[in-house]
Amino acid sequence: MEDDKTGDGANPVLVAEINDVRPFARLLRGIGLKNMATVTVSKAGFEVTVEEVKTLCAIAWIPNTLFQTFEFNEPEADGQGHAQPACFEVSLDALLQCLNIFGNATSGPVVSTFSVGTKRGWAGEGGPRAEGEEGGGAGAGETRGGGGNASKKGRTGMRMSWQGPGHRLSVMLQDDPKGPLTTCEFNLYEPEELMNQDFNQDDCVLYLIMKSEWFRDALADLPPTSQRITLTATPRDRPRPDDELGATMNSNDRRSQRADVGSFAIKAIGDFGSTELDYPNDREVMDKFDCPEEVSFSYHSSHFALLTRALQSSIKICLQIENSGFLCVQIMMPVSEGVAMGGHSGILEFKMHALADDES
Amino acid sequence: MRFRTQVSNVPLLHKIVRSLASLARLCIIRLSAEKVHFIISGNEGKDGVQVWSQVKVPTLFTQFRIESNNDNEIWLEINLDALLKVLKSADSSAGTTNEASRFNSTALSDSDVSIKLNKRPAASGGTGGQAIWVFDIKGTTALGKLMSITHEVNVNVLTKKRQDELNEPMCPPPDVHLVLPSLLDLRNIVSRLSHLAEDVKMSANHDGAMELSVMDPRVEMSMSWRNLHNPAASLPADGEADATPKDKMFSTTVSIKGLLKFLNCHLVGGTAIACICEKHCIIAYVYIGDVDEAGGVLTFFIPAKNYGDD
Repeated sequence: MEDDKTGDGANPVLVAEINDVRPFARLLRGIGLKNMATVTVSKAGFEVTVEEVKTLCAIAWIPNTLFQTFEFNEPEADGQGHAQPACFEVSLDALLQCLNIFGNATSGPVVSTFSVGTKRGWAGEGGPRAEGEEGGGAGAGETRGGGGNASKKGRTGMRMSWQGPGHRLSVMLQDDPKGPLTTCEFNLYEPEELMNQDFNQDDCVLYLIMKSEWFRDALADLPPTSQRITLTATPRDRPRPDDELGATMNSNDRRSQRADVGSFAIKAIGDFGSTELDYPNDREVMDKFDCPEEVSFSYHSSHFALLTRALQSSIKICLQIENSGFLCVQIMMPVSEGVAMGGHSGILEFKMHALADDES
Repeated sequence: MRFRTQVSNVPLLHKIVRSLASLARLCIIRLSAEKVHFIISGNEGKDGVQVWSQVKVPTLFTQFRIESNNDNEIWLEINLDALLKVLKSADSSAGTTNEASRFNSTALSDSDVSIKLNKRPAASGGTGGQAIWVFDIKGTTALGKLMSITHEVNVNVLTKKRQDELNEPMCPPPDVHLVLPSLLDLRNIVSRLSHLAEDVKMSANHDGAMELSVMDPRVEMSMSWRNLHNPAASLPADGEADATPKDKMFSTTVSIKGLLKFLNCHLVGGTAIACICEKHCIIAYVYIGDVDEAGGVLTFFIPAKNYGDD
């Protein structure tokens, strides 16, 4: 085993300790659409980015408040005096497998409506299933509920440290103080250039915040065979539409109400029919809703499927669309106790381009 | 050649066969008046894992009668899946505890199981005929009714020549012995390690420490246990006491799949002792019942993976 370059007396760039890896693993798993991820460390925490070209860019913002200990020191300049960024590429899949080594960082069963979600491998969930794995909850299968193991005592604690560029990432995990100690050394790679297009706030034509649960349920209700999802938002105080012939009173009332307060609709057409869900700009439904003019854009259903894991256990989503249709969805995790006002306990961000009208 | 017996501990026999069934298709059972041996030999076991085990007759059977020209021993080969199906129908104690499936299950409980060696006559009265084990199961269904089921499973009686070919694998005296932590925990952990790599290096020393390490281009991971027990047998004889430092680690690299196959025997539930023969193999003894009672032991040989000059 090659020797790590020992610290030359300098402080390590990063030391982070957490008592329970679950919230950390949850955030990482939410963006696990690819095996490799680019990690940028700063005083504020981690920014973990996964990008699939022509599909979407996913970023996990992991704040330092998630950790019991978080110490960050800027990496020292290299031999030529160039500043070295605290940034590297690491195998997200391997990291998640390690965090879950005691079985305490699993996700619940994943309800993914679009079949693409299950065909694609996901970081931390792959690998051959051991043969002869039988029931009795004996750790049978990562994707089957935290069940079996997590129910026993299940708190895996972690200590992560990084000496800096040129060194490996060290992670130590322990479940039970009397039990085994796991030490992992991750090989790091040069981070690839990412497109990671910024969302232009000045060009925003739709901005809304709603409960994740509604959005998650909406995605689950869409036909699995659909290819595109269309998002439409209408502003308030629109002229009320005429009553539709043969529609119920309820249905006509609903359309009138939507015209008054503004609405947000998700629609998808599948092989056997179409589904449309619409949400009024009502205080109970929308925390915020900014829509100056009617907008409508379509996106690949399969790209939306990639948000499924991120939506589990989250509380709110913020959805923004640029004039071009460029979409940014920010998914917010429950805020832990002790986090200051305006702070957060983890946000997963997904950005994707809209389909042109003639694309499917 | 005559053989018949009553199975006194159906759940235990079921657990043993379940453990073995994940390792191989066929199993050789060597029956003698005192002991019953379950053997999964070299070419049969997946990943090269072999099982050579022995169970004292009273641990599993009563009214055991055996008679043969071969020292009153009978060696036969049986398909483990078939045997497993028979035992599953006789023993509802294993498997799910789901209420609904209990009532739907066709397995019986509190069964009396008897086994008899018979011969099914050849078609149209010719010579030969198929040797079979006839299982007579009388038990209670999930709904409380008494039911009787009979199974016939083909067995292949081994020739003397084949018996002589079966030999326990040779291996040097082990470098270190260690009582393993909970096999179930180990199995869950190793099962997750299997997603990272194909091989695992198991190391242990005379100071109660054990390590499992895995290497992959993406990550190197190692898990270490402390304060495990080294059984007395592994202490070097007097005079050699200073030869080996207590904390020297002895290791062997084995295939994770092979290790997992062995760990499936956690069902049997007894104490497990692992012996590491450095770079050669891991031998694991899983005791059936109490170690002191010596009711029986399943012995697993897990061969090392060689990488030339490692």
